[in-house]
Amino acid sequence: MIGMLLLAPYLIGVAILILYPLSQTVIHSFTDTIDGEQFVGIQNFLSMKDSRAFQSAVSNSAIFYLISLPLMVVLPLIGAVLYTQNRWLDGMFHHTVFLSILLPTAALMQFADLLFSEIGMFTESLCALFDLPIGSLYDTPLARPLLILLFLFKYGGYNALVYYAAIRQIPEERYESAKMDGAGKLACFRYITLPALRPAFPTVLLLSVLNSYKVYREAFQIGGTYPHDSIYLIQHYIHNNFLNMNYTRLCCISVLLLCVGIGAAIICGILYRAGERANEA
Amino acid sequence: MKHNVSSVVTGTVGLLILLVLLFPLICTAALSVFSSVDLGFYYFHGNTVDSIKLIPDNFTLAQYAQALLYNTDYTRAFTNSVLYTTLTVLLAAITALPAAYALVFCRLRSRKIILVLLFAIMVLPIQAVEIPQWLMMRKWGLLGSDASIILTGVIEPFDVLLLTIFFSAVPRETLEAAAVDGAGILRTMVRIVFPQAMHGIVLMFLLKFIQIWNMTEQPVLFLDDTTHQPLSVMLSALCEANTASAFGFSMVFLLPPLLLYGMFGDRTQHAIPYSIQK
Repeated sequence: MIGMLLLAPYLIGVAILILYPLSQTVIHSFTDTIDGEQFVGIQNFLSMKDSRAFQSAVSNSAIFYLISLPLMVVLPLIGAVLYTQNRWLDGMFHHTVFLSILLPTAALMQFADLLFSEIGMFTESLCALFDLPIGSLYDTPLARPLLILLFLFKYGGYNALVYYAAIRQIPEERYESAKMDGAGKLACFRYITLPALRPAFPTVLLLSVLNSYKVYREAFQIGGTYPHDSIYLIQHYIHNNFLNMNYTRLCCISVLLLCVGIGAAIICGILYRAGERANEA
Repeated sequence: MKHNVSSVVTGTVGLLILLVLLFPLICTAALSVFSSVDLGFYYFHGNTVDSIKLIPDNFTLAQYAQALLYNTDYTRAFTNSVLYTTLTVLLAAITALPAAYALVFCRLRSRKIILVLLFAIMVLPIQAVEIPQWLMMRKWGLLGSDASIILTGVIEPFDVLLLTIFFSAVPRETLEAAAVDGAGILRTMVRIVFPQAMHGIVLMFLLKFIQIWNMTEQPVLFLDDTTHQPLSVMLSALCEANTASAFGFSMVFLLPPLLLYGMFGDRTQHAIPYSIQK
């Protein structure tokens, strides 16, 4: 049918540029070399698991997610609620958030340098506060909080936009009738705003995770290929293996990420279904 | 709306947050018109920065001149960016628009499977797809070519999924009316559906442009020659090499997406809430 004809270019692209490479990678994670035919089972994965760099990368990435994801879900929500409360701010919200999203990493890092690098404005005081040697804050254990801060700053806007849009969808009458029944601001939030936002949470979570892959750009600006220990993430591990041409390792980590990605998709789907069912109830 | 204490408080807090969010941008913009003498005196004198001074002693457009005229590394990277971005967005439009149309309006047995597949690919980490692509490019000898960047940038599930959301909003009656009038699929698509879904199409173009304009992972991986690198990759290196013009460099890099947002952003304001819902 002509439908398939319209789809064809795109689907062919997907098949050649995504499905084929993925399948090849999965196959080669089980062979001894990248062009090799010697099937070695899960040996590659086992040796990767024992590598100290890998363990460091995984634990750092896990800690990063554990701290930043809740913040990425909650803080933009507070921001969005704040803005919808106030008519003065409402109009400015969209443009401000968009502008903060548009700012390139390089520019943001230049500004961050003015505050946190060797010549940074806050460096001396922060070093004194935390009893650290004077120098760039990026080489200290403060690197991780800084990275999380940069991540929130750069990508929180996306989540705020999602929340904002969802809040605007709520009809004004609900709040009015609630207030007539004597509901205060907190009750309004708990019983009107939050339930209406339930479908937004999976989207926000998904967006946050997708954007977190990009945080490597900021991390790379901070520390290069081998940054401070606390911010050596999975992306660093990948990049360094790439530079060292450890192709088999790369295949293994790709397969691992694939599994994580598919797992995330399934969780998203489940959450979304649950949210929809709750809304219908 | 009553002007009461809580309103003023939230207003002030909100304004502060806005300022904080915008401050890096304001700072970059302000410092982009500083002369190198001023920059050296107030910021890059080797000791700690005392305070952020935003008004220059000598207003100058020298940084912009460097970016747009004199610094050939910058102009070359800028041109590369423009090239990659326009080509990728055009090709994406050509492939994704018909694909989304087909997924929404043509009766296909595999429709659900395709949509699920696209979603699954979309949530994968960039690196999980990139590494396999790199290995494949290496095997086929395409590494270092412009085609590798453009092709991998074109095929992205997000575009098609976004477009399907907006195409599904087009009321069926319009299509049926068109069919009654004897319009073929192509004509229905271009003359009827696209104009009605224009909000969504503009949003897709805008987001794609911004995404490709800012891409860094793919060029770093697929290109080895710095003369082919887009500005998104070269910006930080160029800024470090030319600290006196760094802020102007950033501002010029910001301009194309900013201009596009300025021209088309208003149209997308309604589109975003709708797509979020879906």
